[in-house]
Amino acid sequence: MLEVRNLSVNYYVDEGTVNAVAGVTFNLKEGEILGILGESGSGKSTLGFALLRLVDRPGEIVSGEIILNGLDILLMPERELRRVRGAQIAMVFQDPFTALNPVLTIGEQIMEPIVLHQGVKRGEARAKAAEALRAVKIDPARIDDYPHQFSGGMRQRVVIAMALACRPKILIADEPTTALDVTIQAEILALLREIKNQFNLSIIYITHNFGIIRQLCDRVVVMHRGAIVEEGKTHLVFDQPKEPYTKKLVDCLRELG
Amino acid sequence: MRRNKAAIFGLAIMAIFLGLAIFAPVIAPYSPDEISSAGASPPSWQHLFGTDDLGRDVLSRSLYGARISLSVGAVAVVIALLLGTLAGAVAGYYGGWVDGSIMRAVDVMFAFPSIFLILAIQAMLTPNIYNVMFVIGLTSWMGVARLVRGEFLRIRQLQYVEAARAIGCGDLRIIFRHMLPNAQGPIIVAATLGMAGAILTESALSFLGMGVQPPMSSWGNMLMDSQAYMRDAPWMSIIPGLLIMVTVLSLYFIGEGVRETLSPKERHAGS
Amino acid sequence: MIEISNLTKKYGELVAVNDVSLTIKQGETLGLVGESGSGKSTLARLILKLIEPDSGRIDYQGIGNIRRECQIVFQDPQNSLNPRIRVGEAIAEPIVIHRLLPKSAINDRVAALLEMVKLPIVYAKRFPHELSGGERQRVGIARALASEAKFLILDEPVSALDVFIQVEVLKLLKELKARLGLTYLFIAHDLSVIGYLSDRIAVMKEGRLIELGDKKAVLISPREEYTRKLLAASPRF
Repeated sequence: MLEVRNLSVNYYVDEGTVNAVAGVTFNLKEGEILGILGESGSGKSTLGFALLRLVDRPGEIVSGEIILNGLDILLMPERELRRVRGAQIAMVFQDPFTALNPVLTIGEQIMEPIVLHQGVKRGEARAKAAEALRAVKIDPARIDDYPHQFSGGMRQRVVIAMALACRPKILIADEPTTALDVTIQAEILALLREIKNQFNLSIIYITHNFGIIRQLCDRVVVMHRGAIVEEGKTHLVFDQPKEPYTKKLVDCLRELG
Repeated sequence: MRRNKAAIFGLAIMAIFLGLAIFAPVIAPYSPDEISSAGASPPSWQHLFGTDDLGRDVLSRSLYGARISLSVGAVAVVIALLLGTLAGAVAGYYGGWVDGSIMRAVDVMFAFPSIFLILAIQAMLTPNIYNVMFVIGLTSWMGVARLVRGEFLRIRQLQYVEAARAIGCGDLRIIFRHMLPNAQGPIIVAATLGMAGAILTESALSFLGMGVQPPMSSWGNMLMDSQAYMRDAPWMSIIPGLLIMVTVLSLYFIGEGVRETLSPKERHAGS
Repeated sequence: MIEISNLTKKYGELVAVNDVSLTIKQGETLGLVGESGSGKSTLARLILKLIEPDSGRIDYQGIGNIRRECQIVFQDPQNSLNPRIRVGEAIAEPIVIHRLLPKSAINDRVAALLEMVKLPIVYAKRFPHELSGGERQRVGIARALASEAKFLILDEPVSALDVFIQVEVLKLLKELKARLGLTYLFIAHDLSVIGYLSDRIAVMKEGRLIELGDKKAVLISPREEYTRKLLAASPRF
């Protein structure tokens, strides 16, 4: 589905060069939820941004390939890249409170990528937006409400609806529940599982939360200092870790209960 | 600061002006009141900036004028800072009716056209340099008060303030030790901009004859003296005008530079 | 040690803490779990007398000076330390305020406190931003202990930290409790790490205390539906 080979991202900061992502290779299989697990500073978020070539100065993708449908995202001209972003690969960010524009209705925001990518009429885009809202279990009657009229969990649903609007094949979710209460988090995770089946999605879920990975992901990639230290089926990695880093992590987690 | 050339330039200019003001008696070729030529004469080797209508050396008067103008600006801004910081800190820290009444007072002060207020006060007092300093200080603290109040409202939300309260710190300690040092950036900016404003106000006052009184020279009353001779002796107005402009600009550059260094840095290398 | 009876605190219409009665026993760790809006933080601030209740009372047994003997360790050590104050001064501050020691003895006490939380003594001269998250949290703990506190509120003390650091800090807290005979109120937003330290667990929802019981009882067979939901949602390994 998506193949990442030898991807490296550097950050050029005052103190020198930081290898945020250091030669990462993995693939995302069709219909799976792949977890990317890492502590803070492991490079997992940078990796998420790099998959859509969204790394900004002072960062730079220095090498690698990201193959989607036989084409390398890193070699695409900007025009083509824009057709990938949002339309084929969509992203959901951590903070639902800043991800939405407070002065636009949620309908307008969900319609934006539809109009942008599919060039359809407003009426049709509105119908699609309503459909996307239904998919995330928000009453389509609320399409003309503003973000502040929604709770944090509901806003994250709106963000997911935006991501789904253009029927992407791949969803990248970067800690989408960190800002939410655990019971709301459980609802969002259940929703992700549901829309995955409904829309035939493949999901990359980036988090530091092993509990979520265990609940949600088919496979997991464990990152440490920019590199992948272990990769495999979630239960195998957690129950029989092979690498020292993963072992130590699992020991710590067991101790915490 | 490394990137901020304008601020460095401003700082250098201010340092030079300050040095010239301090060493005016050593540098000035003439005494500021000494009549060294018959009437206004244009710039020459004897009088680099020319002489004024009474034949006094403009360079010497400018150097002595710098002492007056800069110290009026500095003292006025210190008064404004003390008053404004105190009012803003108390309003922002205690909130509620304390905040309400202080900020209403600020609004009322703001609503007064301050130049008329200053003129009215000056008309009642003897217009000498000390009164000028105080009057400018007393009418220009409101901006600082608003700024400090805003900063305090922000800082009050931060956890280390609550942490300080939790270990048993009193109000004064929290205000002065924990909050004020964290608000100093914007206060420094306000100080530089405020000094520029005070120098301009002093010039305006002196220009209107209500500020620094002759024979003492300030850049403002030099400008006033030059009014009648704008056409015949343009150097009389150009020199103090330029000095005021360069000083005010330098202070603005410094203020902007400080503001820029304090603004949140670009976030780098996330996780 | 602390007996809370019928405590209520309102903010306008919102009843942040609603008729809560609870006893914290000498030497125990009481876990207090609640999601945002549950009133757990308000309850903590009431106990510390940072805010006053509308009704109800709190009795402190064996505690003379509440400000000195009841302390709090905050969630995010990045925000709870003043960025312009050196670590050593921050730790010394409670000692200075409460006039616990003569000036000459303060440096030694700060060194001892740093050692207690397993930080090098040279850290006294550093600023908070020069430390890692885990190190800053140790400073927060040292500062809370500086005034010879007997009771500590731990307000999600590890939720901002990485897993490895979480274990280290929790171990340290456990060790300090045994060594100094402390009593803890451990606040958390879910049930994932609360079992590590707690003897008993209390669950709050919308201002009310809805469940209180032995750690095992609450984690294995909770009585309330909400607690079960919380337990199911909490990421536990």
